[in-house]
Amino acid sequence: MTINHLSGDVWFPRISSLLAQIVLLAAIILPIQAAAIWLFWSENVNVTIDGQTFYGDGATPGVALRLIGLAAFLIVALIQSWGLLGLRRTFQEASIGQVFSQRSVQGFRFFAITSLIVIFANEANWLLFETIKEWAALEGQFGSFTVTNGLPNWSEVSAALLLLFVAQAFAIGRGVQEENDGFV
Amino acid sequence: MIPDALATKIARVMAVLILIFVVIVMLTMVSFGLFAKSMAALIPVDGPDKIDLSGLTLGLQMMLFVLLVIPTAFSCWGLLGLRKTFLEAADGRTFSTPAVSGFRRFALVSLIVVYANVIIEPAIFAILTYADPNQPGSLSIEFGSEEIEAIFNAIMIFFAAHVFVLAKQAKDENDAFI
Repeated sequence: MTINHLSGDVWFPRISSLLAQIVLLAAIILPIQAAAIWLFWSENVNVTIDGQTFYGDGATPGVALRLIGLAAFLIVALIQSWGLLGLRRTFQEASIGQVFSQRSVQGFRFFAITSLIVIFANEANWLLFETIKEWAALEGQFGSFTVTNGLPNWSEVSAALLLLFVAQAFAIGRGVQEENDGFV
Repeated sequence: MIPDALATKIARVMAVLILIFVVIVMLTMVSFGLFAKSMAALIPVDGPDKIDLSGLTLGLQMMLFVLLVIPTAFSCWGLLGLRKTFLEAADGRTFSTPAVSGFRRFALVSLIVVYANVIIEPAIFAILTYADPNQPGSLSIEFGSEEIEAIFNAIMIFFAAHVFVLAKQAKDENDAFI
């Protein structure tokens, strides 16, 4: 019996297939959400992200500041989406019983690495966001910088390390499967 | 693939972090459950965000204690399962029975906790506002992108747990051949 037969449970391929669809949706939404902040930021429109509402407060940035913010947020969102597409490959492979295929293992590893990168990049982005907000509020008269500790949320870092661990388990699992196939 | 030495170090560090986290969280929750009134008074916040639990009766405090401590203890039990997985992995036994059952326990607990929090968090909020004489008793039920993300993460952990099971089955099969 090979591992492909073992993954033939009813729920596992179904869940994997569903997760692949959800991940694709998230990969599409993320860059749109990132761009929306900069495109629709105005005095009359409040944007809510991760439970925080950002008000116009008369702090509407000009074109140059918007472009800087848009570029920074979009780059991180695209990295995140790219990582999610790696995860999607893993789910797609799992849905057809190839959970330890090279495509699947590489996809998960890519997702784990991008997740770790995105945590730190997001911190830099929020610092940029606050700085631009203050610049805009002061109508560009004075430069103002928000200084935070710049440290990411440690629960997010722990979650990313967990993903790296699972990615490692995937790689070891692939080695086991290859050994298994060799026996068969 | 991450070098084995680095993976071992990560697994050991994670095991230690989980243990520290579990101890701190349990102590905090038990302390707040027992001494909610006096601890709320210590929170250095003024204005509308100030928490005043002077109206907390013994009955409400007992309910608060149960709602804080039991779900936290359950979550910690799941985390200790994950710790077992890390410890086994650090010793080169990533797919041993304790490692796989530990990860499955963590996955199952994560999934249950995500759904249970939909009820538990509003209940805690309702008790805290009911006990605060400055605020009318209120109920806050939230379901947004954060909750959806939490559900997705829990299902993904469940997915990963099944991957562990599949790898273990393959490994057992290999061992049987040898």
